[in-house]
Amino acid sequence: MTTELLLQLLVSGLGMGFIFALIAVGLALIYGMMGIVNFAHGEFLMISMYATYYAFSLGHLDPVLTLPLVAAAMFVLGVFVYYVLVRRVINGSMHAQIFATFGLMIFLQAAAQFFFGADYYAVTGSLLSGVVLLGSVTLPMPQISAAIGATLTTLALYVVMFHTAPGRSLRAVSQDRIAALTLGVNADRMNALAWGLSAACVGIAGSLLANFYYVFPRVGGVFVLVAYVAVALGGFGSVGGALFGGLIIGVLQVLAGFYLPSTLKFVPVYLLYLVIVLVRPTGLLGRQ
Amino acid sequence: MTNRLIATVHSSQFGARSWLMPTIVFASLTALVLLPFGLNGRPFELRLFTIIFLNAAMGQAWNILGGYAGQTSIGHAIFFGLGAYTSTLAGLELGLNPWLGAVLAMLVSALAGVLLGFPCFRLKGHYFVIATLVIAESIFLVFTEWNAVGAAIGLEIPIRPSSWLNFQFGRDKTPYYWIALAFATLVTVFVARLSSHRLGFILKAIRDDESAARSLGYSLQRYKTIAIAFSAGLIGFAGTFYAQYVLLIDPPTVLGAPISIAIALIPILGGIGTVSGPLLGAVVLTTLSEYSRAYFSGSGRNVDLMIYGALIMAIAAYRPAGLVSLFRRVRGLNAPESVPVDATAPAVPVTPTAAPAFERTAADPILCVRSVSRRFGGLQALDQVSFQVMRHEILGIVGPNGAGKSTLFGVMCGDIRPDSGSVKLEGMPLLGERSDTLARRGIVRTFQTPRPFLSMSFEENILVAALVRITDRREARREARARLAQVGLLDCADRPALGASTGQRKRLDIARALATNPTILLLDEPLGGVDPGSIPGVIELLQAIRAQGTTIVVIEHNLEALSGLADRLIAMALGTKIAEGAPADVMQDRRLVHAYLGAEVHAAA
Repeated sequence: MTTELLLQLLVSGLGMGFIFALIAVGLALIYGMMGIVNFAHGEFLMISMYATYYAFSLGHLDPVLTLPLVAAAMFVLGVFVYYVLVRRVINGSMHAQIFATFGLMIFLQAAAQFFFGADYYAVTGSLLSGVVLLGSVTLPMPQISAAIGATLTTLALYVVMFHTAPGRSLRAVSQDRIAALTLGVNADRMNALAWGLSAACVGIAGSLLANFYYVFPRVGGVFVLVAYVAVALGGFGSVGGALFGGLIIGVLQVLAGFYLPSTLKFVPVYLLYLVIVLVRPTGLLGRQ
Repeated sequence: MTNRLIATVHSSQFGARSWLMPTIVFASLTALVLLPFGLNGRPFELRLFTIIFLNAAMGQAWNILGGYAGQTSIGHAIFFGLGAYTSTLAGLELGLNPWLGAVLAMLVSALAGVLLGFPCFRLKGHYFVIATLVIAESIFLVFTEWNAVGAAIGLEIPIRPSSWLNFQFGRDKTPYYWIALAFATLVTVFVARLSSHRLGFILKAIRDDESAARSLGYSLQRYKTIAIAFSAGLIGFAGTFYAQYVLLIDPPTVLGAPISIAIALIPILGGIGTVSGPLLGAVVLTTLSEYSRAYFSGSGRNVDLMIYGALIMAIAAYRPAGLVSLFRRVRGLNAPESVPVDATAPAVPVTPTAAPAFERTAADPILCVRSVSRRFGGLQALDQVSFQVMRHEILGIVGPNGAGKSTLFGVMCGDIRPDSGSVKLEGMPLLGERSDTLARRGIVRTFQTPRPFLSMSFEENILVAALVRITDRREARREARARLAQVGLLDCADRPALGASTGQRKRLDIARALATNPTILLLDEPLGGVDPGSIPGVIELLQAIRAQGTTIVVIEHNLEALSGLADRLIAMALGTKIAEGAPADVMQDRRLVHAYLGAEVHAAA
């Protein structure tokens, strides 16, 4: 393998990795807050990709413009899902928690198939298409924008979490729910906020991803499984860890795709999940 | 919500045992056997019923692992697919008869289950669910690429002359109906028997509380492995059946994630951990999907899945115990409030406590703890602690919070591994043994906060413990009732443990540990949370237990009560043993007073 090829793989791997990271960050946020894995997270991604696609093909709105709108709409969807569904199982058994979001996953996927059909769609010729040549390395614009978008989103999330009052309350609830309650934090509202932020993150990921990946009803399944691995890699519930995990996986799957048939490129990623949860359940960054 | 789930699961163990149930079952089975003659070759209905039976059987099989053992798998397509591929490949490559292929398929699937469980049963909750998802997806992807198994194109089932012997019937699909019906019936009977069998009780105990089940001597890994072997093996047969039924298999139709989801949804919708749940779930889900397919043509445009999804959400939010809970009286919640037995029952009618039945000799150590140390980060929780437990004594361990009592307790019952030092039971080293092994060797603990198996009745709680050493159900039942009587809870035998008061739970915990017939009973604050009026009763009970020949080590904060109970006390502070001896001496010990009250108070006194 030449240095240039390696560099090329690294760049495209990191581009994808930022998308994985952004999806994983949303998952980790919710897991850290309330110990719930959102199995419908991939379907949130799918919805935002369809939104971006239809805005582009029907409304002739460029993904760059729709991105904030999609993020805002997804925030509302996340809050809605929290109040209508998640809130009812938050004190329930783990079974009930798993099946609630699992049911949502099945429902959204089937609904997408019903309304949009099983065909694959793609956004072509948006502002974010094309490539940039940097020396001998080709940098596809969509991937570059994904990297920039994911970085900015994570930074924004960081600012919200660590430098605003709601962010502090959010972290208080995630660290000690009862103590936060006694201090007058409205845990319910904080949970809703977490679901909103989580969905907004995945909405941004969907908008960016739609520039270089096909949209179809099951698209979420592929990404969300990988996002689970990223979350496990970073330590369940750690937002920073999820970002880091996403990047590692981005590179890993590109390298695996180079050596294996491309359909099998995620198999090493899945195996990595098993290794991590069995050998180092606190994740790469977590403390033992 | 947890309570609602557990309450309903509980009620399922007590089906109507009158003549009515068998009659209904027999009549409906007869009707189902004869139904194909009435259908007169209508293919849609014939297929609908065949798939219902197949799904019911798979739902029951999933339930063994997911419902009874409590391990939620969203990867059962692995076993379905392996079953389909095994018999088909055995037919193609070796010319093996499909029935023999089915047996092979069951073995291969069961083995796959065991291999999957070996690493994954260590994972809890979501970690396990996601592990099954990623493993199933990996296997799906590998089969899609693997040319030896037909890759994405799949395999055609070798055509044989139509006959029952060949598991193939040409155009006539009726025999598949009967095979599926027989399969569903057998699996249902098997699971129903299992749920009242020793293994079923153990699995339910593990589902309810893994630590408590382990503390009684049950190896979690072993029983979960047995559960997945049965579950996967039965699904393997379903895979072979499906291959013979459709005659063409490829990765999406037998290994895809939707298969895993469909298998899990059946019992989830109907009712997890119940026998009737998967039957109900299979009828509802299969009818939904077959009719929506017929109505919307093709894959039904996934209308069935939309309704599934909505149903599952509704079930999770409003009826986590599944559809069966709509038809059953919810036992746990409708049961009468637990009577405060602590106040009403006479204090422990047991064997006389006056004279110990065993001669105690000072020089008969049964458990030797030598130079045990354990550090947690910067905290030296135990520092070179040594002592001996004498046979048939009651040894009390006291000390203020943070003295290291709980760590010491953890070391003795196998939950915490010390950094150095040794623990010997009758001269045999124990270190490194897990708590279930220690329990089987006679060291059994109770919990500071009692941990009854909440889906079971009082009696069943004890029964599970008795089944550790007594395999005969009737004898185990006698033992369970005897232990309940010993702790004064016999009149609550059939009540759900869910409704037990704190005092009752404490006694239940002790009775459960006793039913394993321990050599040494380790009690973690048996008086904590017990109202003062009931304390003499508990003390009397513990003395009676010792009188029967059980050695007792007890950690307790209530110094006054303990000094009246224990033969000897060990006082601890800051991870070290500071005093040991007769209660009166230890209680007077300056170091203990110092540790509890601080130097100044002591000086002032």
